[in-house]
Amino acid sequence: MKKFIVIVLLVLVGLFLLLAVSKMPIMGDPDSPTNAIATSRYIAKGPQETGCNNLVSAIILNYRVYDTFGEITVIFVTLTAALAILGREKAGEGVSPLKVSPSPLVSTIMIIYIPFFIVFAFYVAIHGFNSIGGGFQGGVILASVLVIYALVFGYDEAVRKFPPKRRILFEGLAPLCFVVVGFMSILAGTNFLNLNFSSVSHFRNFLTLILEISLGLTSGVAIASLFYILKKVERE
Amino acid sequence: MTVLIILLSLCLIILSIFVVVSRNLLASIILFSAYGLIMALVWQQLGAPVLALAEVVVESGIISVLFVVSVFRTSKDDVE
Amino acid sequence: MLKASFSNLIYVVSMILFLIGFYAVAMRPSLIKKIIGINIMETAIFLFLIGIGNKKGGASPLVVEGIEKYVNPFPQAMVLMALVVGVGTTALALILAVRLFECENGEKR
Repeated sequence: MKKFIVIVLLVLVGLFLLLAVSKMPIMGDPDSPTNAIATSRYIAKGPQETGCNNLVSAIILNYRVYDTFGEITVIFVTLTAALAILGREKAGEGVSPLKVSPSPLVSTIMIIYIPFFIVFAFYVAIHGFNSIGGGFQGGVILASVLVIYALVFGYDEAVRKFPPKRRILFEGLAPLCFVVVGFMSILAGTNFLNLNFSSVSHFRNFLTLILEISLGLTSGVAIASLFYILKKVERE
Repeated sequence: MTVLIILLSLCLIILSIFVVVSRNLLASIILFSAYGLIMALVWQQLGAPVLALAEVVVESGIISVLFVVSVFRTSKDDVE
Repeated sequence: MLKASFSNLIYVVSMILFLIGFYAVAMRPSLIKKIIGINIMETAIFLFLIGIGNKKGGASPLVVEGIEKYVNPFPQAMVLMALVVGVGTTALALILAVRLFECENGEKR
């Protein structure tokens, strides 16, 4: 019975979606409504007004930075909720030790690779101004470094290396960075988080860089913390 | 519409059906990470390389690891 | 209708993926499968948004001297933000599923 209802619902929703799709403008049409309004401004003046040749970075770090602030709030709230549900892990307590010692080949390769991974993460984050990349991507690469460390050397060792005390600093850093930059622009006499308050373009680029790195660090460290919370197993 | 996009989208649909139908949770997670990889290729073809990078890192990197960890935690027998 | 659908192939593909994800959420008993279904629906909508922003013959939105025509960067920025939020919601859903499993099986925190 449930299957029948779901199939009927699927067919109905599919028909409506197909009707909507057939009324959409042709894909790739330069004159369609979505491509008409604000985009020409972003494309024409983006590099001069924001200092980013990468237009996606230009939008999320300058034109729509208020949205990015909200997004960071979402990550922070997610982390808080996860901590409220499962609780923070403690170093070397109540965690099952690794049954198999890591293979010497894998651990040696990882010891050689991990510095390059971290350099690559920061390269992706900083290079997001002019090329493919961005703060968020770099941050997630950083998080994957922490995850790989926990998978190769065991959970206990990873928690000892990156204890929660050290991670709390970064988890609270980025919302704070955003608030500080926002109030800086208020003190300079413009709106909250308006970066274009000074006539010196280098200062604006510097603020954008701060925002980008703080975005990367928070998202990365928060995602790594979510992984550590999820991996925590308590046995009596 | 190039031939490559059509082939990739066919691949996407087939993969997502396998992800949903498969009985084994681990197999469906691995297929899901492959799905994310092919989705990133489609986005790159549509002119969004920045998003393709993010999708590769997120969908087939972090999210599949989170899924695997939670599958190990919610299975009855000790798989670790 | 069919001809318009063929020229808008990306929209049709995202619609089919959305329906598959919907089926997984509605019919699969396992919670993890339901969360995978939610993720499939999410990526389908991202595909739709990127398809909206596409322009025929447009370059990807990295400004280079001498190129005038670019893909619309605005939906891409919004999708990037939605990806971040998607990671957060998926992780929170998994944590809730794990907690639910522990409650049902009588394990202490």
